[in-house]
Amino acid sequence: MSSATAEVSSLIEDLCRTEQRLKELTGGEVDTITDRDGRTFLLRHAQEELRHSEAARQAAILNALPAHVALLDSRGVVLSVNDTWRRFAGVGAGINYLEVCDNAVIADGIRSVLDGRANTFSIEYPCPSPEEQRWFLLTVTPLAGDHPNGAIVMHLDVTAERRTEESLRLSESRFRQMAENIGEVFFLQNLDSSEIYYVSPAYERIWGRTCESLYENPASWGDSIHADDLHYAFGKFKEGRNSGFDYEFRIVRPGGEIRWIHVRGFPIVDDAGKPYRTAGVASDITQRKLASDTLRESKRRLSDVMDNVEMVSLMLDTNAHITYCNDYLLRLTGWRREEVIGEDWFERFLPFDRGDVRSVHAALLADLPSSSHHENEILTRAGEKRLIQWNNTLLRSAAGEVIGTASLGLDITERKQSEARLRLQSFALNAAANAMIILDRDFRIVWMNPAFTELTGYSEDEAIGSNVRELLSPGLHDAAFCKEIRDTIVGGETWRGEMTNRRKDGRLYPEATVITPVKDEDGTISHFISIKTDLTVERQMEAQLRQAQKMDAVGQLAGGVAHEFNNLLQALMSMAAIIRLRAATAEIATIGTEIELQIRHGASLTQQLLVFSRRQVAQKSALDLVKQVEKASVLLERLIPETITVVVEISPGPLMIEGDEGQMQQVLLNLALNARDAMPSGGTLMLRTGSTSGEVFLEVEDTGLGMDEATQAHLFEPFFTTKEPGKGTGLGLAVVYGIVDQHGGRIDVRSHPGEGSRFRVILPAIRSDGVPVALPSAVAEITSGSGRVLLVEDDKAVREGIAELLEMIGYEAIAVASGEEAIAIALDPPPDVLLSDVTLPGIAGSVLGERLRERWPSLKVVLMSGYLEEKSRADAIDRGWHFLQKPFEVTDLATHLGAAMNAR
Amino acid sequence: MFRFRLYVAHNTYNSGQALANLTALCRTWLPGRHEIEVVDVFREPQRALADGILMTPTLVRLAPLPIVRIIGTLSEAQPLLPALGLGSAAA
Repeated sequence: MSSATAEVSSLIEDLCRTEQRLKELTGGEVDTITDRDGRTFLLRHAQEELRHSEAARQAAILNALPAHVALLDSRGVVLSVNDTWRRFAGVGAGINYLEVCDNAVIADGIRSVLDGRANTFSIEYPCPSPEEQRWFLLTVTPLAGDHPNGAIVMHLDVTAERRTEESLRLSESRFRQMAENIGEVFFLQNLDSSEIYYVSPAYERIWGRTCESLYENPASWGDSIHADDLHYAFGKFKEGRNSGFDYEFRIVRPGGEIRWIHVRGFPIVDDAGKPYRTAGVASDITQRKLASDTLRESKRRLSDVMDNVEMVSLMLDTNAHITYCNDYLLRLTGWRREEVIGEDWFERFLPFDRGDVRSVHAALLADLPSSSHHENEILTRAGEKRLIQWNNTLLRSAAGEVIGTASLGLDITERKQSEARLRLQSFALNAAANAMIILDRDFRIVWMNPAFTELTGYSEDEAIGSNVRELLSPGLHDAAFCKEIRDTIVGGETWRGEMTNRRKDGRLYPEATVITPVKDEDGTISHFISIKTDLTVERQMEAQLRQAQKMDAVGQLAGGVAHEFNNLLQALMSMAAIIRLRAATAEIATIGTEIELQIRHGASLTQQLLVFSRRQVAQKSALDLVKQVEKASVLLERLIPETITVVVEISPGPLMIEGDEGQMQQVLLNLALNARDAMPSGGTLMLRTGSTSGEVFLEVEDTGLGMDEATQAHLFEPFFTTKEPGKGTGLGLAVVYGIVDQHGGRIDVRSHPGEGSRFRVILPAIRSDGVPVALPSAVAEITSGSGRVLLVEDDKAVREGIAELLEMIGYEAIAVASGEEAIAIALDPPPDVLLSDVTLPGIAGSVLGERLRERWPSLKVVLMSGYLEEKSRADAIDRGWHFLQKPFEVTDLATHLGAAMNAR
Repeated sequence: MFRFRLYVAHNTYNSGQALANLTALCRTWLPGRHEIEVVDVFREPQRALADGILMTPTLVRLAPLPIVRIIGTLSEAQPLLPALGLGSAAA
């Protein structure tokens, strides 16, 4: 034993030294060492430190506890207490807790744990204190170990918990009280409805089932739901299980009675926010539901009516903001409902002329009777105007207060347009210049316009109801023509054509007619429309046009003939003059004179032809027609036989025209002589003058034979005569026509066979202060002259004749056939006068005159022409030249040459 | 990235010091670029044996290489930083 003790003592010494050495080596910074076998040794100083820190930690924990903690030994003596205990009880270690405890139950409990009879003991007890009632929880726990060697006693202040619990109990009792007394069913269940935690007693009243039956069989909730709503109700429930639900459904009570239920519910969530229960309230809404369904149904029906009716339905509040409108308004205007509801009606739909309509709205709100009906235009979204006829009424609240207006509006745009169109059409028909009639199927006139009366002379009283054919054309049209018209129009086609009808006064008139059948809705012809155009004036115009064209053609012909004749006569005239002047005997001289007379007669004929063809030049001046008539009447006295009475009716004042006096006299004489010839067995010849607006006229009227229409049609044509051969040339009236036409006038002829004739010559008037134009006076004497005359004439006979005449009257004549020759010929000394025809094959007379005057500036020019045109003459005179109208006599030639030579 | 492994013996005084010093050192010098693994030799004696750990606390620098071992509480910074390859680099 001693050796063993010595060895132990030696080992301990080694241990101490080893530890000391290790500590030195590691500076005290190492806690453990490990040997090669992996055995780890905790160094002793580290063990002590560890133990010390562990105890300190535990004490700290104990002291930090809010509970009062004491450690008892097996006898109940307090070994230690924590700070809380110490502060509370003041008692420390050393006393026997069992002895100081004044509560027997607690003492017994502690004892049972200390004895090992109980594993733990706990009790909640009240602890009265002066300030307030406090509650404590006492826990006794045996100290660890196989057998009892003490216990830990802990008092915990649970006053707060106790209060919470108390209030919870109170609120639960209140909830229960409430839940059991309210009319609604309150329920609490798990999420899938497989367990009902609570359902309030109202369930029994509403559902007609006991609460117990639901607790026992939660699925009976679903059983009670009306079959039609089951799917819907479960769907809604599932959908809202995690977020809340609110829906309505029907249940069937055990007796078969149906009730409407409104259920609202919400999830109850745990601390993590996860739903774990569902709470809800279900109420019986059967009464309300039935009432609202009825109301909704009636509203729906009304709304259906409003939406389907083809009228605008509109409600405005007192500020004219739209509170309701039906679909029709939206369809009509193109706005969407959300764009109009709440908007100002006038701003939205009446961006123009709002004032008037606003005042209607104001009047309506003021309950003025005038405002219940009106029309106004509204504007669609696209900017189109629609005319609406409104029917307005006031809206009042139940209390009778005005809350707005309601209006029904009919879109009358089309109706108005068609009314306006009809009015226009009716106006047009009545105003139309064309006669129009509407016939029924039996061709009786049922309608006519005023132009029809104008055309036919029949008034409405006379025409309406009459058969159109019997009225206008009895016996005028043959059966085939009538059948053609009838077949066309009865066959549904339009007939167009011309026909002659008879006026009420018996006169016939031509008309263009269009007859169109009118079909009713099913395609049957109900009426015919006949439109008539009076062709009387057109026919007259056509006749006049034809006449004018004919006269023009004849005039050209006559003019051409006259020109040729003039050249012929000019040659003859020259030769006759030579015969006369150079006659060997007086007898031959007389023959020459006779030839000249006959040539002059021929020249006067061609002169008249030229006048007719308007190629004679009128020497116009201001003339008083009255004086002309007076002058002519004096002349006529010698020409009119005594069997004819001449009556002159002249207007008091002067009647001024611009005219050629000679031609006017010729007109008067020609007309008067014709009148005379029309009255072979005597009668009255009347000469009249007069004036109408801007025009003056002279009339020559006889009481003679008169003329039929055929004669009147050819009256003014040259060589047309009704007289016996040899009695007239047929040029008299043609000349009158030519003269009047040249004076800008016209001739009106009235004549019927056996009733005499009246010729009225109508001429444009001028003012009475018109300046008369002086007429050149003719010189009859032959004046001889001297000088060189260059004669240019393409017609050989004429050229030779004139050349001879020139020499006879003392001139030296150099005759060439063309302008080219005249230019080519070298003359020295130069000629004094150029005598040239106007119309030449090459260079014209006027051009030739210009050219030669360039060469010989002092050259005088005399132009001559068989045509007599205003222009050629005017051109010649404008240049200061002379002009000779063919055929001219030797005296004319001598006069013009003499005048030309003498001019400087 | 610095990877350290600290061998400790429970929460003994020196081991606790070493862990506290290492944590502070890493926060200062290696923020965001270190990993510390703590091995309790009482819980994992085989690992300590395998790694040849004779004493705790022992710090092993696993990365960057080479492996460096330091025994003690790591409370003296002067010799410690160069040994871990930190101080000079930072200066």
